[in-house]
Amino acid sequence: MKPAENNIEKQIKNLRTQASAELDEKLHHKFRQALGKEKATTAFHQPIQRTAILHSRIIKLAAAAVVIVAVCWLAARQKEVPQQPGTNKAAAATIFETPAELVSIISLNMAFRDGGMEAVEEQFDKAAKKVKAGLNENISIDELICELDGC
Amino acid sequence: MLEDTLLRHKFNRGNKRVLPRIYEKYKHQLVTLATALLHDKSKAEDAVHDVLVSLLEPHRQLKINQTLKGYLATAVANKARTRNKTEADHHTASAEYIGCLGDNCPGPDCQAIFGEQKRHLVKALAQLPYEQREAVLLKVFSGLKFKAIAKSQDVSINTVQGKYRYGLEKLRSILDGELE
Repeated sequence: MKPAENNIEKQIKNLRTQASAELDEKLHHKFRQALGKEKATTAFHQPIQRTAILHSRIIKLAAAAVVIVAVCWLAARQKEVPQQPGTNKAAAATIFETPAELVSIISLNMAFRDGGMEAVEEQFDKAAKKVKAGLNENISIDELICELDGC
Repeated sequence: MLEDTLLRHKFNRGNKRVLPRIYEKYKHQLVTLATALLHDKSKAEDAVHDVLVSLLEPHRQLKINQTLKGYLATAVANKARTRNKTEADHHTASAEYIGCLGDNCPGPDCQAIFGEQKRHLVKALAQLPYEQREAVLLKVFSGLKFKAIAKSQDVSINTVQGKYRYGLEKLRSILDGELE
């Protein structure tokens, strides 16, 4: 390059003028207006975020990985569900509506283990006598069962 | 340079909050470029204003692929070219601009750019054809590559190189003539 041209280039590079305060004010006002509006209306953010996700390769990969992991986890969970003991709890909840029922079933179960059907019947008789004592003296056990079962 | 990359990255992701910083960083360079191209500071500031406002449009999803400085310089040059084409009175404006180079320069801004050492250069620049002036300023002042200038003007690289070379030669001959 010729020295004269080099000198001209240097002078051109050194050209400088200041932006006026009026331009500063006008543009900063526009910035405030536009950016304030952008903050207020979230509708503008949604497409921006969506496009940001679509345009970013890393975010795309991360999103795909998350979806795959979630699908695998759900599939694994689906297989485990029948083996879980939680289902028995649900069944028990449907059988025993009140704690009293649960207690009586447990006591009958214990009686059956101790003495078989005879022990269960004996316990049932005792319970029936207790109930009968609190009610009418003349009512028989068969009538009481009939009344309870709704015959 | 690192800040430019970060600003460009944020802008490309749709973050318009970086625009005030971009403006603050490049305002003087952009106004200088536009003033040198249009020979009228108020028109130059209007061009810079229009470029920055166009970047603010919320529904416009721009993506800057080149350097931030290069992008802004190209945008301002395009705006200045459009104004130069549409305004029929640019020759009058040019005369006013050269008049502004005299000792009765109207303001400190004018004196800053058109100081004694640069008066001859600016006057010579004003005498160049618009295309040559644009090629010289974008190449030397804004540091754009010939390829980028060619792309912005939609011409071949050889054409831009020719304009640049002729522009510099003409500048040199004008300056030599003035100095003699």
